[in-house]
Amino acid sequence: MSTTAHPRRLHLEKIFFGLLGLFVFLLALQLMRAGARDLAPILKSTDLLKTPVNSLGFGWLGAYMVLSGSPVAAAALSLFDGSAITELQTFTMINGSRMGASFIVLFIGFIYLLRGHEPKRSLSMGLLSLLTTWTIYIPVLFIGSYFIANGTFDAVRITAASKLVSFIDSIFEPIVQWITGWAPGLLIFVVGVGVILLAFNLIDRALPELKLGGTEFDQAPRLLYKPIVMFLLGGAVTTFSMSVSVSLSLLVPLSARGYIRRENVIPYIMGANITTFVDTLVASLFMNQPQAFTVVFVEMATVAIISIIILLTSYRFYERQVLNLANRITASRRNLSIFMLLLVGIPIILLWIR
Amino acid sequence: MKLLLCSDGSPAAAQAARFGMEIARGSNELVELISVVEHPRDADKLRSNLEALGHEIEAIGAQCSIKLRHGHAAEQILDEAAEWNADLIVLGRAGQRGLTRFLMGATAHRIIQYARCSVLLHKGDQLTLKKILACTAGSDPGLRDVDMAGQVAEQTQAEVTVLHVMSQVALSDKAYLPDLAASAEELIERQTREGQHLKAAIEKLIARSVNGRPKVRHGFVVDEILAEVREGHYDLLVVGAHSAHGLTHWLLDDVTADLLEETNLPVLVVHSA
Repeated sequence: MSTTAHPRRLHLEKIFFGLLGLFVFLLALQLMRAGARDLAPILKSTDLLKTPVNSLGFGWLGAYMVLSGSPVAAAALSLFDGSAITELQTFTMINGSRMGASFIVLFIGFIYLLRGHEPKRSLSMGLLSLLTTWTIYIPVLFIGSYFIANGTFDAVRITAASKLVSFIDSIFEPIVQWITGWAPGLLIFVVGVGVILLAFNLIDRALPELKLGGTEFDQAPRLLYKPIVMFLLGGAVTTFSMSVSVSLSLLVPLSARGYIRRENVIPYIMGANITTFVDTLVASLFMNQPQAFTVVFVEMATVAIISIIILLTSYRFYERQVLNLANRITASRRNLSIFMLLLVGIPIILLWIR
Repeated sequence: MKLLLCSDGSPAAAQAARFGMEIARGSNELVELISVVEHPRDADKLRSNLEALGHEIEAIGAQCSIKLRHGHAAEQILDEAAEWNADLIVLGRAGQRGLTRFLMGATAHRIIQYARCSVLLHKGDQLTLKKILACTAGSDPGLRDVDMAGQVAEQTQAEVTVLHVMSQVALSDKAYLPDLAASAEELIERQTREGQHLKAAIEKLIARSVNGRPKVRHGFVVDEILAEVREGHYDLLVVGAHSAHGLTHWLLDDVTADLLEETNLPVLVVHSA
């Protein structure tokens, strides 16, 4: 008897998980929006997110806690929708969520390190991912904040059609009301965060199993590609996978020996860092505040602009600096310990700075 | 090996031709000296220049012919190389600045890009040819690059270092880390893909009675080749030409162009066609 799953059944299963994932995603957004309305006065009275710097630290730490950036970015949009944070704070919180998102790759490597593996093997990919993200997102933070503060992209405002929003509201309102009944106030926001994690899990199951083999790129670990080629590949793959860490893991089957050219991996991460916002962009369409879309658009546009400038003007210098930094960090346990301390310390300081 | 030595009458071109003579010294093949007349007023000067270089070639016991062509330099040199069936075009790159450097660089670039045979671009004052660095990326084109280095070494009694740069990093925990820090000898002993390739490359040199040794460096490809050039005091760098056709031309990085730009060593660009 064959145990292979029937392709049509597999197809239906993915469609089912896709639709269910979308439903749960929209429900999570509704819950977080409802929770954010109650959360706004609490946040204001406690001064937890008083400044954009605080929200940067909050997004950053939040991504550590849920081991992903996307749920935190969606939470930022919900807080903005509930007037709990400003437009600029939303931008910095989303920015922080990306800076903390790469932590998952490094965290897995760190677990291997604790099990006795060598630092270079265990941490190199996580470090490259983290350092590439940081070196891009730190300038993005400043330039994007300038764009937001000056309203440079204010004309870019898109929301889902009002009829569609009303229709979605009419579907989800009774469910939200019911959940609010037993999880009022602050708790509903927490439930919303839990539900959005479930939504991303379901969407992951619905995604096609991307296999890059059998194309020109199946030799990616061996050949040296133009940076722009790997940049576009990283962007394209992440559009479908919606996660930088998943996109990176997709490269593993390409290399039977588990290697990839270091020249290839950095532009791949740079591309992935742009399209990883696709789900946040979709979420922004379902917010009552049209500026929500603008904030995500500014984030994506600024990351794209800075990445392309680096690729076109100083890519060789940039990749050498990132690699040198990664090598320095893994050169000794002392350096690594300092780095890990900074990794946890910086967002905590940002959250509490007044 | 049929050598086509190109001269534009400049001291740099004369140095390039003299460097080419080092390769011609051990060859029985005819050497051709060529100049391209782009302005009629330069014809006499170019001819007398070629004759002087011709005497130098005859003095080392090689036979040579002289040819003047009229037209665009790069096009005429490429046509002559194709018609005469040259194995190697030798040309110089002057150290001029500004527009002259740009124009001369453009000629050399066009020849390297479109030649069907290998091209040696000479730089600086280098005239001896005792140590050759042959870079190989792997597979059959890499072996052809090494074989070309072997042909030159065979005629000049030079020794060849075959260099392969591993720039890989561990993508997953399954990666076998020792390979990412291993020497050429260790890779050969472990019979890894790189080791097998280096072994095949050295066997090609041995078949030509050339003294060769394998070497592996770890890091960025361009950086490590340049570091090896600096540390090893080589006289000639041999690299494969950038893929000229198909999708790979647009997808793959042009390492050869980076090396041509950044090194002051004579560079032999091998075309595998």
